[in-house]
Amino acid sequence: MHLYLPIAGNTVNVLLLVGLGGLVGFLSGLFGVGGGFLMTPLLMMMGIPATVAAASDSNQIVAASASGCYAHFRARTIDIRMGLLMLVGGLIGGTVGVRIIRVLRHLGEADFVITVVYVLMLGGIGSYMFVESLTALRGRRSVRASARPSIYRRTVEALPFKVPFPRSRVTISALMPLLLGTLVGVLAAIMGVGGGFIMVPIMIYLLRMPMHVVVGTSLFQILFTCINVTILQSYMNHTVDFVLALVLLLGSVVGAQIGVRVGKKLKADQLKILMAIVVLSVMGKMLLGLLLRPDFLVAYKGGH
Amino acid sequence: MRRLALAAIGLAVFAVFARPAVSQSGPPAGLIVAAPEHVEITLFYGGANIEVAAQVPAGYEVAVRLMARPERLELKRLGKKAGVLWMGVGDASFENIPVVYQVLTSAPLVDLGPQPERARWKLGYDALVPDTAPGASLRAELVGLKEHEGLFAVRESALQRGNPRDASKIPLLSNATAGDLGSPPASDASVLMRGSFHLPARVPAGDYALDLIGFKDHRAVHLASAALHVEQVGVVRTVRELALDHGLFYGIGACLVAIVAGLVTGRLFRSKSDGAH
Repeated sequence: MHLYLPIAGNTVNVLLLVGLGGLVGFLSGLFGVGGGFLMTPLLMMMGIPATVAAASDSNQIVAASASGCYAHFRARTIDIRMGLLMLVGGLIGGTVGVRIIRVLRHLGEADFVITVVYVLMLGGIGSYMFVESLTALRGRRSVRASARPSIYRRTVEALPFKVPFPRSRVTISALMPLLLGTLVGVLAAIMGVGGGFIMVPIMIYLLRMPMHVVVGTSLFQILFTCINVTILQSYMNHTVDFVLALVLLLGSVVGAQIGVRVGKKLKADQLKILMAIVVLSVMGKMLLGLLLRPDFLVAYKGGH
Repeated sequence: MRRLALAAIGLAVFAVFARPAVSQSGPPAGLIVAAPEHVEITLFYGGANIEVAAQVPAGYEVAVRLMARPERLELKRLGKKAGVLWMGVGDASFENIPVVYQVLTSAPLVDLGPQPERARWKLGYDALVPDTAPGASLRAELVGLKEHEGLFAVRESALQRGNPRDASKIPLLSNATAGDLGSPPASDASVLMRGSFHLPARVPAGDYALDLIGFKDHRAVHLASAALHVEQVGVVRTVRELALDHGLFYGIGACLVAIVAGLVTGRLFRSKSDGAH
């Protein structure tokens, strides 16, 4: 069964789209990521223009993250205080990131920088999560916990404006989520994605938040970021395909709920290692795309 | 059946009563008909086949060209960066490239006529992007990309010769016009050529020109032309107009629908879960 997408200007298989939405929604509910880093390339492979794929995906993520947020809100696994601070940082970082992109485009090096940052970030985060979770699953806990605090930890503890975050069971400076949110915002703007897959490891490893709160808080932040992106893209670039988003969200809202349920049955380290495998798979696919000669040596402009 | 009968009568009347437009004593003109002449892009549109039939003066080889209005095309050039990574390394600009370009011929392109004559009517990819044109070095890459999308096609010897009486089976294009040579030929002095174009799902809405070009004695002549109209209708048109003309409200509406869908599904799942316990 085929459906014509008015803004994308192409026809797609409805069942394939619903399935794709379901898969990405499942990952969203399971790991607390938006799934844009996975969905956008898959939509492009189906013949959707890059700009329309990225913008419509944001619209779909609004549904999936609202569905996931609702489940996490009921389960009291959203740290709203932490999420709001990171959201403010993310908005500031996003603005800075857009300016950096403009400078890089002017220098003619934007594509190169974006791609290399993307692969390095995915590879670095995925490898670290994989090794760390594997070590934990084998029962060999990291010895660093008992060793002398690292420079990072001492710096964090020295920062002013300490605030308790009861839901996350941490007391840290309010500057931390603000600064890390800004960093994620910069990277997300440069890479053209929501940033959930960077945000989740940052919450786990740098803010030391418990895994079950990380997922809900990340979805909370993603919900607001994607509402902002959808409205801006609709208003400024006219690239949101509502028909495409609607079909995707049919699958993703159900997938997100299933993901949340499955996530509850898994241990934190099992979740982390699965997330690491997904991140490393995407990195591997991107790396192959960079190393293998493309079918044609010209491509349409738009997107990264 | 009624439509076909009317088309047959229309074609016969046109062939008998139309008078030469250019010269009374010149050779007869051709006529090109196609079906459908109006393609509607609905929510379930998945591409369209356009059947064409051309009435061609005896002794001519022909090409039928379907083409959109030529325009400037800006693409990204891909190359190796740092010696190993394939990515965008610059721009590639092409002039006068139609978004859709398809050609059917009755014989191999090189046998139709000399290259300058073919180039004059933009028949063949080397005529579309001449060696001296900007981006000529990337002609094969452009053609490969467009053929992969189904927007470009050159199908040599794809026009089949048929009986002129079969022309009645094709509805007459209301705006088909005789070409440079004047009136359409009498059926006993002409040959019927038939073929089909395939418009892919990604074809943009707009007007497309169908041209019948004949070759005889190393000379190309324009025999006839017609227009093909592709239009978005219904929900497709409404959504597109909303997105383009009321972007802000469209964006807010899209978010509201997404939030409601997410919350309703969340609530449904919770109810189901509560019921299970």
